[in-house]
Amino acid sequence: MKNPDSELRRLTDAWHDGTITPEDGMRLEKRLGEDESAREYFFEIAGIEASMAEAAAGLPTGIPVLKTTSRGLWWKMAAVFAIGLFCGALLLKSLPSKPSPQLGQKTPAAMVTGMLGVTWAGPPVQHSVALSAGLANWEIRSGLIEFTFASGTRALVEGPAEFQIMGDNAIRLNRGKLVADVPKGAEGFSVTYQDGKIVDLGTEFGVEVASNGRSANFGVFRGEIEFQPGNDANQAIHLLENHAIRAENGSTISVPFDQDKFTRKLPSREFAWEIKGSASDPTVLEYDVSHLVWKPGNYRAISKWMTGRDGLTIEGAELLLDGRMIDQDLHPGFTGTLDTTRNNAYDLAVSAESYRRGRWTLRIHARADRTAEPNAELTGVVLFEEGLALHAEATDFLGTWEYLHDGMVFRRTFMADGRASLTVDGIPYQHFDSSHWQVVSGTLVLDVPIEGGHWWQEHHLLRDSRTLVFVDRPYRNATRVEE
Amino acid sequence: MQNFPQSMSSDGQLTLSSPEFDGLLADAQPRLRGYVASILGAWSDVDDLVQETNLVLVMKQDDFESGTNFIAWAFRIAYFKATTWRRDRMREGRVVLSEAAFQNIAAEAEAHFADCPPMVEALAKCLKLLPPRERELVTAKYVNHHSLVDLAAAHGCSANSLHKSISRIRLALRKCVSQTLQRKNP
Repeated sequence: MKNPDSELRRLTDAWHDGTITPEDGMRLEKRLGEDESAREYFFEIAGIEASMAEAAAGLPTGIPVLKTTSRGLWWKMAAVFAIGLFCGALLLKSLPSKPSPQLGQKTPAAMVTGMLGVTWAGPPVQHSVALSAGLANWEIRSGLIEFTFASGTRALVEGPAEFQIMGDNAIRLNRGKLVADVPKGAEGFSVTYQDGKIVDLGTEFGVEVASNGRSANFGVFRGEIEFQPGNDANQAIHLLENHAIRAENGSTISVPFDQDKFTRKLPSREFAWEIKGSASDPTVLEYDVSHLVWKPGNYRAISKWMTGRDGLTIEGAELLLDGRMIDQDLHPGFTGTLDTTRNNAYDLAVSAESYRRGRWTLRIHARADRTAEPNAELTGVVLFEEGLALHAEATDFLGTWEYLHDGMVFRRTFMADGRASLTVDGIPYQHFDSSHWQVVSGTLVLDVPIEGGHWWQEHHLLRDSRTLVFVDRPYRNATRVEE
Repeated sequence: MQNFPQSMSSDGQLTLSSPEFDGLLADAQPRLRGYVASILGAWSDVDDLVQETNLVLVMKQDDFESGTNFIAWAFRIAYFKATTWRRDRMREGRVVLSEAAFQNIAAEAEAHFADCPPMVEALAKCLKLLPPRERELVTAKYVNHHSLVDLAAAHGCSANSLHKSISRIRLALRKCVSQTLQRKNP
């Protein structure tokens, strides 16, 4: 084994530490291009780096958890966030309901199967969506993270929270809220905190550990749980459905079970609307979006028509906190068939000063199109989005996107030369042959020629790098098709 | 036209993956990470990209034919992912390999890691031979994912001194792992 010279060692270290300069990057390229033994050393160190986290996971250490401040890592968090959402949609059922004996120790203890509005406290401690037991503390300031354990148990943690995955059916909650949904066969799921342990006996339950880590409230939505004060199974107390207790300073007292304080599942960003009645009656569509507003930021409400003869005239949208107006966007818009839909997206900003947890309400002022017949039924959805890639560039849309509609598989592809194609169940849709697309202010504008010299125009946005939102089409969001 | 992944049901959910596929995917992880670390550098990108690669592999698991070269397929998907990441990092002004070097290193890395023996076990043994302070540094950096800058601030030393310590540790581990694997496979 040949030892590297000091330059190669320094360049390789800098490459893996993320501290390499452009000049050293060029130098490293040159060294690797010229010298086989340099490449061999470079790959050996890469292999060690790649295995280090797994190999070091079992090392005994007394090093304390470091509290640090966030340092410009938002793009990594965004990546994790996007992956979390993606997994939430796709991976949930990929986990076996019980640990698979064939997988042995390689089965992850838990997987992140969803995230919403997460703000990390300090550096992200674990990027992987597949988590081994005891690897890292997680700490979030706000938002929701859903884990699905190898046992099949689903746990939804609400920030601010600090916690650690302890096994394929166990979690430690140092502070924060957690709701666990334990399926049949996964009984025994446990939540440990400093002064006690809650063991599930087949149920759905909620736990809140106070910021001091020692006071806990917990209650049972369904089934039965066991509370072990001081982790002592001999002192176990059983709780049944709708029962709740507070454990504090070594005592336990029964308290009312405030179910509303717990978030039991990841909320949908999509709200249905249906309008009946006189055609031109003013209508206020109102939605509780408290579980979608986790932090200051720019939010967007998009009203989409789905069925009905005509459409919906929109006069504006408002975002309220505990009944107080935080922001409004009052402009005329219309959602209906593609050729009639105009200006149906409403931007609502939540400043840092105005943000706090509370009851957030989205209110949309609308009325059915006055040309509609009386009592004509109209249906649609409102998408309430945060983090839409409003500054997306053309390259971000390149590629193929897939969605289901009316039981068929649609794939539309945006090509670098500005053309687009569409297939429906694999059959090319000929109108797209002469289509053209461009990106204007973060929105993809697609022009599709049709017979008689006419054309139609569609608008698409990106929720994230993998999710395409149709602004003026009654389709579900499309997912990027990987190469 | 490629069909909608067969492993995905009509309601958009993935069905259970096979034990064989799970085993191949698990076995591929260290080699995938090594491959990606070679072509992308800074290790914190590596986990993200390997996650994304895993997602694609899981989604397309029905495209994989049993008995064919799984790791080559996985590398190919990781390569396409890495090209996108490279482009994005270039936009952010980060140091990446040039196009030609990227392709050359990717090809060489694929050959290297395709035949690379598993080293986690050997590495774990070697880590236990490190002095306690170095083990703690490894745990803080690789397990708890603390940056060396933050660790230096917390411990009142310079980041440069910790970088040098990590460099020494890498060199010592390389030698130890090589010897351990040679003893295992003389």
